[in-house]
Amino acid sequence: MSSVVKDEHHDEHPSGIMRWITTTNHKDIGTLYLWFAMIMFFIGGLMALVIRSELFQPGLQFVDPQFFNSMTTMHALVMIFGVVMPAFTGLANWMIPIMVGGPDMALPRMNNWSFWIMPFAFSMLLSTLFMDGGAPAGGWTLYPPLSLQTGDAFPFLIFAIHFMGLSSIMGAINIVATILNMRAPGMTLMKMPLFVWTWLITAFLLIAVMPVLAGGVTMLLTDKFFGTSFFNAAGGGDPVMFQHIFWFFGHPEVYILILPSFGVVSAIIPTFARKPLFGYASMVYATASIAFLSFIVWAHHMFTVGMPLAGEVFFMFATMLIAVPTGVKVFNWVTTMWKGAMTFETPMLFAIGFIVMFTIGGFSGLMLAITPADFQYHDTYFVVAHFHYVLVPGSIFAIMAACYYWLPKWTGNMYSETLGKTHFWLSTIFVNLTFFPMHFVGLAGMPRRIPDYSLQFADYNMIASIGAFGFGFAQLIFLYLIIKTIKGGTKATDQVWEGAEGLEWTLSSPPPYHSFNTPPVIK
Amino acid sequence: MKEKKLNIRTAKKLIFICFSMFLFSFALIPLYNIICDVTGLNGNTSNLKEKVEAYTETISTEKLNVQFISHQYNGEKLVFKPSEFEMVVSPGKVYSTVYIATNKTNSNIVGQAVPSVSPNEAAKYLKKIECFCFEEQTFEPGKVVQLPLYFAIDEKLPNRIKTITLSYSFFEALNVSKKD
Amino acid sequence: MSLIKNLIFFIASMSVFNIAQAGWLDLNMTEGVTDLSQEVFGLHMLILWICVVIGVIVFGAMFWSIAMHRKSRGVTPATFHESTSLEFLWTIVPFVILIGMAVPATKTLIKMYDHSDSEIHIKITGYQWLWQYEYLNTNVSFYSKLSTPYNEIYNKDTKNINYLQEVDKHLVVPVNKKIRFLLTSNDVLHAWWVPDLALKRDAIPGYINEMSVVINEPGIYRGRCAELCGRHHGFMPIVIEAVEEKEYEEWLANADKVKSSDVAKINK
Repeated sequence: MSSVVKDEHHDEHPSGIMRWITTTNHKDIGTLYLWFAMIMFFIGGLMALVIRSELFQPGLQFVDPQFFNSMTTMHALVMIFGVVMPAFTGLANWMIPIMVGGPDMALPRMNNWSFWIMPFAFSMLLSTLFMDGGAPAGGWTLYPPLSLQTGDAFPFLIFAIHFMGLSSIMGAINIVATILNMRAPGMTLMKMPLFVWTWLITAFLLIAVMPVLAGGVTMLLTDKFFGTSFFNAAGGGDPVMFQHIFWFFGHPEVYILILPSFGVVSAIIPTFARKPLFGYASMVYATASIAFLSFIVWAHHMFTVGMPLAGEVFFMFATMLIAVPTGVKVFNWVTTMWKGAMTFETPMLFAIGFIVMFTIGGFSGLMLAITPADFQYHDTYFVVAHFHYVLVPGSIFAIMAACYYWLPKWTGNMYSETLGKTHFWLSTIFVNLTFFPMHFVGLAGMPRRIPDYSLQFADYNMIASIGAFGFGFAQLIFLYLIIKTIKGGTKATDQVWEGAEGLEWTLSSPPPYHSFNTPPVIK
Repeated sequence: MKEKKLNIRTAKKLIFICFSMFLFSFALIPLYNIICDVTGLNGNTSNLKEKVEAYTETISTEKLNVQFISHQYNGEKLVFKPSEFEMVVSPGKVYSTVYIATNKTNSNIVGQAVPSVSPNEAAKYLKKIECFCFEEQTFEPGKVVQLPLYFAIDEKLPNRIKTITLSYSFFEALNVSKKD
Repeated sequence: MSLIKNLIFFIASMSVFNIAQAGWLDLNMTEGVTDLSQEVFGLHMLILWICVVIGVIVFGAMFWSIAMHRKSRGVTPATFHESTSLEFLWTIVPFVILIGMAVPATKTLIKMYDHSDSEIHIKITGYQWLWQYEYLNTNVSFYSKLSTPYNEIYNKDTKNINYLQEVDKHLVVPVNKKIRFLLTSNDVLHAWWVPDLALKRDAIPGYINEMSVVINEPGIYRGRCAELCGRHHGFMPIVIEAVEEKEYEEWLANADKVKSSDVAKINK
């Protein structure tokens, strides 16, 4: 196998499982990432369904409250680190070298490692479900002192997080190096597709904040096992300190989860509007300013910890500012559609769904920024509704849009448009059915992370649970469609979409295993 | 191969950023403490002795209330209470009060009281001249101990703060007794 | 189109479920019973309407475009892709709107941080999983914990109307007096939240937090722990009873006599 690893440009590669274990090809690794995300999506989804079953009616029916808390914790960790991040990394692996006209990722062997760490990290995380004292149940935010009450699972949780962090840092380094060094001659930075731009900025965010999370959880580990008291008041520490560290990572993290989707949507809308993207430069600057602002707003997750007035006011203002560049993006997309000649294939539907529902999530985010009102919203289902709107019909829809958009390119086959559209409409209806009522229960006073609730919340919870099951089952269509498309179908043209522009559409569908060994000519 | 070298150089730079950020996360702890000391961000008053400057010179005519409360994490074993709930004080003047601790068990209790001030902006204006919280305390079985506290309020205290609460949480020393 | 369809479906399903039990009022945040909670409600509605207006304009333009500028209508796509004035405009306008929202929000916030002239001081301590209330400067101190029977939680009995929001001992306070709460915790983080009073603050072990309130109307107000605190996080409600001052004085005198004989009971 080593001969193959050494000679990346050799056209023969081992077949079967060894191909995937030893691969250093960016397309193979991209595929691995995407399938990994798909598997995790169903595991995390199953956890969500456990949560929604328990919340279908008031009273405790199915699970113990402790297990319920484990489910909310694990659902979040799996969905964030196991689905959205790997899926975007997968897209980056597949598309970035092609989009910039490079032959492969900059550091192919490290690329192999950054993927293969993930299954280990997640086996470790998921194995905690079977441990004494149960899986971590202190919330994905890991606030001490509660997270320190975790049983045997604790060190596994921490090391799993370390490995996930390591994997995404390695992935990010690779992406930055690829974008900076592997561009074809003539591909200047301001000619790059927006997906590449958003990923470049995302990768820098990852490199900057994942180590901070690693530091924070390491301190938790030493607090629990080695007698330090970083976060223990008894030893002169401060539990709130952890929240500052966590959200210093956590807020850039939520932009890590959303920025690549901006890139995806900025690729899809112009294609199906048959009109160039409006305000390319302002999109780049808006992305950069969102990334910058993400470092100075972290404490808006902590308005209720009792910060001094000046702190609350500063973080309120800074947070509200984020609405400006985000607004610019939405306005640009709408203006791109304006006076275009649109068609509505599945990727376009998902992209439009993204714009509408992400904006709804953005609005509730703006509401949450108003500190006095946040005292009422904080830690309620209103927050749950908010971040699910930006993550599910936001990030997840963007990932699906990207899959539909590039699937014909990847496989060489067209997917079934009827199935795709069915998938879109079912997902859209059920995702709203799930998450819209959560605004209402949140405003009415239902806190998040509770396994049981008082009677006035019953109706909307029932609706949300029905929606969740509908959404869950609708995703099986997606799985079926992808397998079906890989197996065969109408052959796709190289261009695939009438209005598509960019280097990836100049390659054959599917592209050769090694593409752009000789750099393309950029106009 | 030029490209490969370039890639490795880029990777090295990025790894360097990565490591600095990891170290930065640990540096956040002292940074946070400094910011807290300067601004009183978390209501954690310094556990150190303050220098007594000529406080008596500038006694303001303002009056404000200082309240004392306590919290003990093992209420069964140690009763730890302020002797008085509230004091009317003038900024600039030195006052004293006592906390009373009773060990209800048959063995020594070792631990330390950790102060916290509300509103937390007031923390840096509350000057403790002598306090039992500066060091670890040992309570012998059955004994009632008076723990003195001498303090003054800095006259720079913003006018809008009229009530300050000083809370002591008593933590029993476990294996962390050697810290601080 | 998708949105409109969804919305119609939504409203239809909502009303079917709704008429049965909860009223339309339950869709929104409570106005509450303090001056500040009403201000918070006002802020909430202000920003909600601003968002609705922006949403109608943006989505309106988008859906108009979706309806009119489609290939099937035989349009030829325009080619414009830049307009400095337009881009400048939609950077500045949101900025101005934001300032318009930040000003009243800051004003309310400043009022919320004014705890001066408080007459009653109550210390609240969070435990896994109950609350302790101490009326400072009196001998009154008690624990307050969930009183919903297990049979209701495990679906053996029918649930009463106050299911999971009833406690054995109410926190009794007078109306029209400024009450200052000091919050701390005995173990992990908790958050004390009563929506009708628009009060929510974290209880942090080793630290104290404060908040204050003047309740305008007598009544029973219910809240919950809002920060994940372990297994029974969902089972530590708060019930606060606001009464006339006279009644409060009587209650306090009686409570003092009973003395808190239960103090030791739970502290195990």
